[in-house]
Amino acid sequence: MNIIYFLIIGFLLTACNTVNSIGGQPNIRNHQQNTVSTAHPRARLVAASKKLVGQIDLVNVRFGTVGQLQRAEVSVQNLSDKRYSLEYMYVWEDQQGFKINQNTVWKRFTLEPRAIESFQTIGVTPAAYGLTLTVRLPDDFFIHQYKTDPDRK
Amino acid sequence: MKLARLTLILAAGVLLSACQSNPLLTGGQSNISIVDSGDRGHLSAQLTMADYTELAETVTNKMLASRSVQKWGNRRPRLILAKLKNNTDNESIRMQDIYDRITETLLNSGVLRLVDTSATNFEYVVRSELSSNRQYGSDGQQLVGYKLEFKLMTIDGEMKGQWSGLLTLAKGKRSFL
Repeated sequence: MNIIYFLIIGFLLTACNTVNSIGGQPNIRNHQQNTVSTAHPRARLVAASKKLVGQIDLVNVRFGTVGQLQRAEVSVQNLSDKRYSLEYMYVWEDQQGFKINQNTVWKRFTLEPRAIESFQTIGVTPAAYGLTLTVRLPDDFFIHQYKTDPDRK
Repeated sequence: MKLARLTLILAAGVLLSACQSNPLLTGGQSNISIVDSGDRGHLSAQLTMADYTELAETVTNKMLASRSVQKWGNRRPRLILAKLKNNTDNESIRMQDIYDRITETLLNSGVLRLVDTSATNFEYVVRSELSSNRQYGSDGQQLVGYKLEFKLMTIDGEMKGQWSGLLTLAKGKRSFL
């Protein structure tokens, strides 16, 4: 009888164990959000502007090799009927999730209504494994200054 | 009476402070701010450091992804990156910065060995050139196209590949004031 009590208490106590990880990755904090598309295990799309959430999505990801290097092509679709002038930036990571030290800049592109645009990139070191593509509405210091100008009508 | 006046002044101060607009993110009195190096802001239709990076990266990646370079496998041939030629209408472009971006990408790839232009033992030479064309419109409008081009040659002079990248800058109408 005592054994049954101990088993029940043990079972109940395990239910008190807090869950501090999602997807078995204890060091990565995963927030429930709709700005990140993780349809592919090695690539993710981040919609970095509020207006783009639900308007663009990752439709296809292909990985290949070029000699010792990884090559990826990511296709993004405009799900809306608007014409977007956007910027994208990609960051490669190695298999452990460390960012590959690469000089990346925002690149401009236009996404016509319902159109699919593909971006090809090469992981510039053989260690490159995964990819994060961030897309946003064009922004820089001068655009930001213009938007926040109190005299702007 | 004095207390009422003081309360009124304080309340007015609080109310007026709420009228202050969202201040600009510039750095204090100097009005200078540090910006993200990846941002693509332009004050004129000229290339910035971020543009150098994009052009160099685009063309170098095209070269690394090509069949000619894939064939090298793990052989890591010795390669000379010849001096970058400036064929634009702007003599002040810092060609060395573009050159350094290219060598950085090539070296990090690990698929080749870069040797100095004075080396006598090498297999390939990459000749590169930056060119531009410019169109002027009314009211100060400008359209400037930049092209960076690589040509991969063997020591016998045979061309093994050619890759290019384009970047177009547009300058809008000058404002009336």
